[in-house]
Amino acid sequence: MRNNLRLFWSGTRASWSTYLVELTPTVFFGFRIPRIILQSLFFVYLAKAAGGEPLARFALIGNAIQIAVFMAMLSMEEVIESEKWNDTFQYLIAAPSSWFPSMLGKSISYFCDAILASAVSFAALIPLLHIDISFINLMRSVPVILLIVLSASALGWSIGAFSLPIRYGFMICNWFAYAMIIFCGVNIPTSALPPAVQFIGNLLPVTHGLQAVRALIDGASYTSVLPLVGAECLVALVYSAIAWLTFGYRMKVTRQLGTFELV
Amino acid sequence: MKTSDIMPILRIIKNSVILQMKSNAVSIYFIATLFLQPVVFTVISVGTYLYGNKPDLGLFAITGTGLISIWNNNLFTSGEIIRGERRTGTLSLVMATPTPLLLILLGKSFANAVASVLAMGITFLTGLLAFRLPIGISDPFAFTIGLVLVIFSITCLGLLFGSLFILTRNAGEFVSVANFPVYILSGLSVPLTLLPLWTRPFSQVLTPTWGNIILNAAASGSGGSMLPNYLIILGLSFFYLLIARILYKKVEYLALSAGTLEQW
Repeated sequence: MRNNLRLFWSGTRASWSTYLVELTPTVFFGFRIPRIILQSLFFVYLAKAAGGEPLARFALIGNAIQIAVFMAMLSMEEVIESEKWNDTFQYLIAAPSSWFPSMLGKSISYFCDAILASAVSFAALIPLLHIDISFINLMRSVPVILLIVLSASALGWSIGAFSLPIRYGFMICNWFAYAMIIFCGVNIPTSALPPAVQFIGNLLPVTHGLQAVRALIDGASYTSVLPLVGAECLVALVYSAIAWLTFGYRMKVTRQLGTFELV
Repeated sequence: MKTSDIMPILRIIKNSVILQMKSNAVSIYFIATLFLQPVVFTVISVGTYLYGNKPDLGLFAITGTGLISIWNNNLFTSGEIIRGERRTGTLSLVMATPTPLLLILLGKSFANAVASVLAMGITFLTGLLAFRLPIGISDPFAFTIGLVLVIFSITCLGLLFGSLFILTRNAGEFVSVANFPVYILSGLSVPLTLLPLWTRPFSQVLTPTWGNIILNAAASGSGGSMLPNYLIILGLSFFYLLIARILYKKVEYLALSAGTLEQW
């Protein structure tokens, strides 16, 4: 246990160091924060033009969370893929310790970054667009937002583990994250989507959690959203299991064949 | 300028166009962006308008999305061209050749912009297949002229940004930031009337704003003379080219006086 905690801590330190190197103050304040706000703003304006204030409010909640989902997915995919590009995948295989605590630690700073993105998005867009959202209710929904980001992270890890042998993991993840705006009811409710799209949406992270967050922000009790939270937990667990098994499989195959690259 | 001066310039542009097209043809990233982005953005924007019971804005959303794809391809690739040259270690060599970098990038950006015309077709096709919108272009001639001018103008605007990419290693981050303000300020898929009045001057100096007006007017057949808008786009293009030229000269001077590009 203590060794695993030490591995987790060293992974966290590595993750934080990488984060600080990648995100200099110029990049963070000059590019990252404006990007977070402007991406959400575009989709909220689109909703406002289509359905006025009520749809703008709907889209603001959806997009402020989607931006965190977007960043979590891309970062988690990169955490897995960077082992390949940094030539450290073989060390993970050869190390006598478990890879899991270290990889979990390496994801921590990106998880926090995604949460920060959501907070920035809410903090900037609510006053900017004069959207009526209760601060207390928004705070009540924070645990579910954390759960959504966690389940999106699990999807990011899964895509990273699946795409490890190819070179287009980041691109696949990028487009997956954009497509989730459609499938997960970010801009318009999933009930307005065709049944096939709803079916796919139900299998993805975010869909159920986002419905729960919307209900909590509108004043619903935790008991009433429990089924939705349960469904989001289940989805998170399934994707985590997929990521765990796939990454483990990649390591096993690499150990056997001496390579994991297909292209 | 004599004919003998123009021919080498055209040859440089032609070779840059061919080289970039070859590079694009084998770039999965470029191809996927070209095909997937219009589909995703069309579904989001048209779907939102249909949900809001505003199907009459469907065509507006489609032309806006088409322009988003053209702009995105152009800006992304402008950044990517410089980043690619830097990564492969050829940026210094390209800058040191007697051929002006501006011409090389003009050809490369133009190749990307031409390829992105396909994105406009994909947005219309997506609207037709996914939403069964009654899509027709009322004035195909005006639409085509508008599209050609917009592509030329967006290429020039991309060049302007491209000059800045030489002096930064954060071109990728810049591209991801610069996309959305242009979508918003140019009224691509979102009406300009939603924006505060103080943003209007910014909208008016962006060529996608005028392109959006022209393409929408031509597609919906709202009538009126297109000539003033064509002239504005041409005027803006030359303005961008002028600024780009000044910036490239400045960048070239900085690089040559420093004797390296490594410090940026």
